[in-house]
Amino acid sequence: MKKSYALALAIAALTGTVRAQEAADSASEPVAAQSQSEQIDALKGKIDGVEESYLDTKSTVDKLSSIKVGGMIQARYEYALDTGILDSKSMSLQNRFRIRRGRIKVGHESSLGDITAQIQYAEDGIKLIDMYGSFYDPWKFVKVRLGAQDIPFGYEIGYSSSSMELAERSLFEQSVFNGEKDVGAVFFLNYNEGIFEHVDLKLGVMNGSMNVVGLPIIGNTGNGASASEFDDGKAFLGRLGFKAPVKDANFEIDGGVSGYYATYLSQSDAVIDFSKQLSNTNAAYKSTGNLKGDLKKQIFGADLQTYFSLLPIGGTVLRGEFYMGNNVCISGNKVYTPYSYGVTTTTKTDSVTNASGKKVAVVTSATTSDAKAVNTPYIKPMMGWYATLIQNLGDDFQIVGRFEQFDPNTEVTGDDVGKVANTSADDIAYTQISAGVNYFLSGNVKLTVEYDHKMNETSASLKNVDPRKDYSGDINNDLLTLQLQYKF
Amino acid sequence: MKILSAKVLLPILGAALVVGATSGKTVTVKGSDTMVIMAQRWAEAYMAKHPGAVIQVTGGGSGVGLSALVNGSTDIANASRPMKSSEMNQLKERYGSLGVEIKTAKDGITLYVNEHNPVNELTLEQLREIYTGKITNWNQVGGSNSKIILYGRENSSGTFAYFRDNVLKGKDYAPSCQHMPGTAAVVNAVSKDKNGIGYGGAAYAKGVKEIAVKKDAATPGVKPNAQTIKNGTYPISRYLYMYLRNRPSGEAKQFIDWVLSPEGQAIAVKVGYFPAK
Repeated sequence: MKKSYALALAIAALTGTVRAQEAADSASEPVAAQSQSEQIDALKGKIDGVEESYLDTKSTVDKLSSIKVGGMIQARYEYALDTGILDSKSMSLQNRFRIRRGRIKVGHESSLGDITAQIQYAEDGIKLIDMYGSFYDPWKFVKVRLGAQDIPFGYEIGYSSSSMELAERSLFEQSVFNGEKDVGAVFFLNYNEGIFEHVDLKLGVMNGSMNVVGLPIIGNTGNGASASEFDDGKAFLGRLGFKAPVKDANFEIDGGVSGYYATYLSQSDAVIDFSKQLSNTNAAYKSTGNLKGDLKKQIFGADLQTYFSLLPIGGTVLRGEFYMGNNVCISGNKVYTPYSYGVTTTTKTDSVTNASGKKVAVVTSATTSDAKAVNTPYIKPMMGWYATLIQNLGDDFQIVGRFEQFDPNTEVTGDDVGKVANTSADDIAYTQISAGVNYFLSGNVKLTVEYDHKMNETSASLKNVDPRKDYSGDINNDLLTLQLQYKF
Repeated sequence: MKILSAKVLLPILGAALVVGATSGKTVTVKGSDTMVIMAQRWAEAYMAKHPGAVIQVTGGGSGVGLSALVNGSTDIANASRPMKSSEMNQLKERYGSLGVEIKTAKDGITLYVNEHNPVNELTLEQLREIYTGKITNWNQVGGSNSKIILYGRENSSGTFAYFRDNVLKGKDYAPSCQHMPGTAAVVNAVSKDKNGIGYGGAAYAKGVKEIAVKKDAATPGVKPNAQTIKNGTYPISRYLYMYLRNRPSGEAKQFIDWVLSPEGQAIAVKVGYFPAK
């Protein structure tokens, strides 16, 4: 009985509590609902604010993303097997550290054009090596690029220096197109529809003055180093390329044919013409009466690249290029320029009496710029080719081998080099075998270890021309290169 | 020369071969936002069946994924568009490889409008003119007199590129188009905007109305579904790809083989896409 009473009291008390709570809840419901609605509105406002802020930030980021900045440094240690092979300002070296290339590139791209400037630091100073603007249609099928830029010839010239699998380009390119740059206009056709899908065309009209476009900023600022053209002759050049992918087989053959035709105005009466393109060339290959005459540089090239992804260890690339034609150059096989400018330093020693009454020698020096001297032009039939095999091992390693030959003067060979008038060590042909390993430490860092075995054509006529360069036999000028590259 | 080269090069080549042949068990997958949910489902199901295997999936867009493939920061790139020739050239330069393309599923790019919008179908020509800014009012295509608000994807997205190349025929998007960071964001924006129109993968078409697309004015409108995408009558369909630097091996190969198996393809269908074959 007592238990039932207590239970009834408890139920009554609880019921009362629940009803009181319900009453309290119903009284506060509109307030809570209003509060929730306000909170949702406040949150919505914040989200809208964040969205607006995001779109504003995105607009700024989009503008900034059209500015492209890149750069790289190639720091190198070179070790030559025989003393005196590396010549630097007439000094004999067996090993050295070098900054082969240090570059900063800045550009801006919009829907109808782009502009690029690239500065390079190397041993010849700091130069602006690229300065061009491009203009194209909205689909980028057709592009015209004006300014200082890579010449549109062959394959390896346009291949990025930071992507090169070996430390240097081929011997041919280093001699005939040294610097890879010129000033002019280049037309690009890259229409990826129909029959044009696998074809690309580059055509250029350029000064033809090649590496004298150095645009020096600091260093190498002699009179001869200028961006200006030195004559009215122009270079007409181009490359017609193709791609033939066999997609299901993961195999592709790319290739192209290139042509280079340039005329230079001779400022020299005498021209050394091994190609016999000048009518009055005599047996010593010397032609006279050529002042203001045309000198023609004509080069043909063909290149082929094959890509296989057959091995699970990584892609395989076999690449080759062949060039032949008539080169116009000056002594040392250097790219043609009509004049040379020298700097002469004269020293004078005087005997003077110092404060202590003793006679001492005082050396004074003065530097003077020489007047320009006319360079004797050389016209040489030449030939070069290379074949490179690249095997990737996983994502981080790459082994590379290259075989190449370059004959700067195919007209004169063997012991005739050095014996025939106007020939010299410049006309020696070379064969080089290069082997290297690349280790990609990250997306930015690459370590290259390379060994170059260079073999020269022998000529008994060039025995001991230079104590360090006896061309009667093979000169031991093998080179070991360690290079660390950082690029971004 | 022979002695020096052998001493220097052989140990390096040996080390290269050993390291090059070694592969870890974690497989990273990066790229297309359109594919990210499907790829996550694949990864979850695969890891459940293969204890010890780790498949890491992230989005970012097809361009981001393919860029990561080139710079070596992902093993597999998901892409809702084919690889561009410029991207392939980068692979050729760095890895000597053409890349390996795997078609993993099919997708129909769906056009969404707000569920209160009276417009039910549009021709490809009308879509092109809407997104290039030539048609700016819904009453020009049979709707109410109100301004068309455009929503699209960011330019790193494969869907952005596919829509521009195949629907806009290479023309630029109208400047007024708002480029959203993901397809889900496009759907969300259109569901809240009664004058909005957006596009994205079929898997995301929730809470909005799908538009039937007509090849031209004379043909009937077609909505994206398994049948119309498989038989090609839906005019805006595409493959969804995985790209690798080289032929897959190890865990990556097992994962891809499984993705292409009936089990993996069933997950693609469950998420809202269609089998690759």
